[in-house]
Amino acid sequence: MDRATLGFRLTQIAADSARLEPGHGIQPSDPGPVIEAVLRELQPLHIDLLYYDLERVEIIDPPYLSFLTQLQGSCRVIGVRMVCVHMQPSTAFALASWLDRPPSIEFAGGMWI
Amino acid sequence: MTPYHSRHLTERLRQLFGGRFDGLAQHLEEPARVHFGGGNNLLDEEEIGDLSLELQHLIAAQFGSADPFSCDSPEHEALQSFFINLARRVLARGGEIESLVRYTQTVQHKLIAGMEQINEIDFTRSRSVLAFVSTLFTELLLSIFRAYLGQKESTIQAQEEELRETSTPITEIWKGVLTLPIIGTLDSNRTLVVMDSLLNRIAQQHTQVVVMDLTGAGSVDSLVAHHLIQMVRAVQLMGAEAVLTGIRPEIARSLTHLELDLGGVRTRASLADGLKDAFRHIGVEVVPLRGGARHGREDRYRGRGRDERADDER
Repeated sequence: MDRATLGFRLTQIAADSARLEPGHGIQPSDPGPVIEAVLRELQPLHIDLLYYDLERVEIIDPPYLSFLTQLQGSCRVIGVRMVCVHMQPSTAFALASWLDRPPSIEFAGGMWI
Repeated sequence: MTPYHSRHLTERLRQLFGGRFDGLAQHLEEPARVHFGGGNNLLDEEEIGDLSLELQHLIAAQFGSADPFSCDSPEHEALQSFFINLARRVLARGGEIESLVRYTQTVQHKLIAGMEQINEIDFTRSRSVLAFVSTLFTELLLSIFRAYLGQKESTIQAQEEELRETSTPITEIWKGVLTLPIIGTLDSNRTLVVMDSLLNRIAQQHTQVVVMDLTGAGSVDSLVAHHLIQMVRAVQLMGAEAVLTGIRPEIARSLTHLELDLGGVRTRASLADGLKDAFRHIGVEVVPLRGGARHGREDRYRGRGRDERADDER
């Protein structure tokens, strides 16, 4: 399956970083195919930093958070640091209401790390 | 009120419902003038004239309607609306509920006296007429009270809202640094308001650090602690650093007692320490002016943030 089918867009934004924009096609309940496709596209770019853009993600429920955690872990394995950026206030508000411990994912306000 | 068809209509009631109403407004002007006009300064003469005439028409419509006893008829609803609107107008201009009640009671008496004079029929001695008018005006008084309570409730809500906003001022103390002094108790409603406004400010202003000062916070129970941690988490999820300051010994003890996971939360003793920490985080160091005099901007602060340096260069 190509990335359009899996529902994400990957753009290299600097020599050492790229931005991943997830679409509505992402299936957090079946993370395997998406994670493999992302890693397959990341490796040839030789980047150190991946920005996961949450600007259009409205809800982060437990399956989605688990998907993000798995994706971050997989990125670390291939030497890429993943940082989630642009979380919307309403999404953060809802997510903070059910989190019982700090998530292991790295968050930043924007792509300036 | 009891349905019309199940009522036994006395002769006097028939005469009242079929009576003439022209000129009744003049009788109704006096109570309005006494309670709202003159020194009360709530309604001017023109308004008193207009409202008395309107009231005359509405009473005539109610008495002349198919069922004058009905509380659901359009005529009765129009009469109720008149008193509700009058109550709102008078209260908005600083009038008291007491004036409204006394006005309504006086109108009740003047109505019977006025009808008596216009129609030259002795209504005052009729128990059925007195009972009907009394029941009607009790309903109207209830409408006035409902309007009064509604207005009081919205005033209290507005005051609470204002108090909530003013008791948690979010200030951008430096580009990228927000401060949030938490004063009093952090209940669920307040947490919602503060979080909503704080998270939006973080997104709009690309905030890097939020310093939450608890110096003025009340006692911390498990619910308050939960709200506090929820706020810290939400700030972190937005990609900003949260620094908690001014944690008093008793609050520290409560937090420990509640076994809350404060891992990943930066804490500093005072607001000043928290600000110092925030500046360090964004690469700014605040130093005293040399000799207390005004010097070049390089002397005022060193190691300013990226954005400030860029602004200066521009």
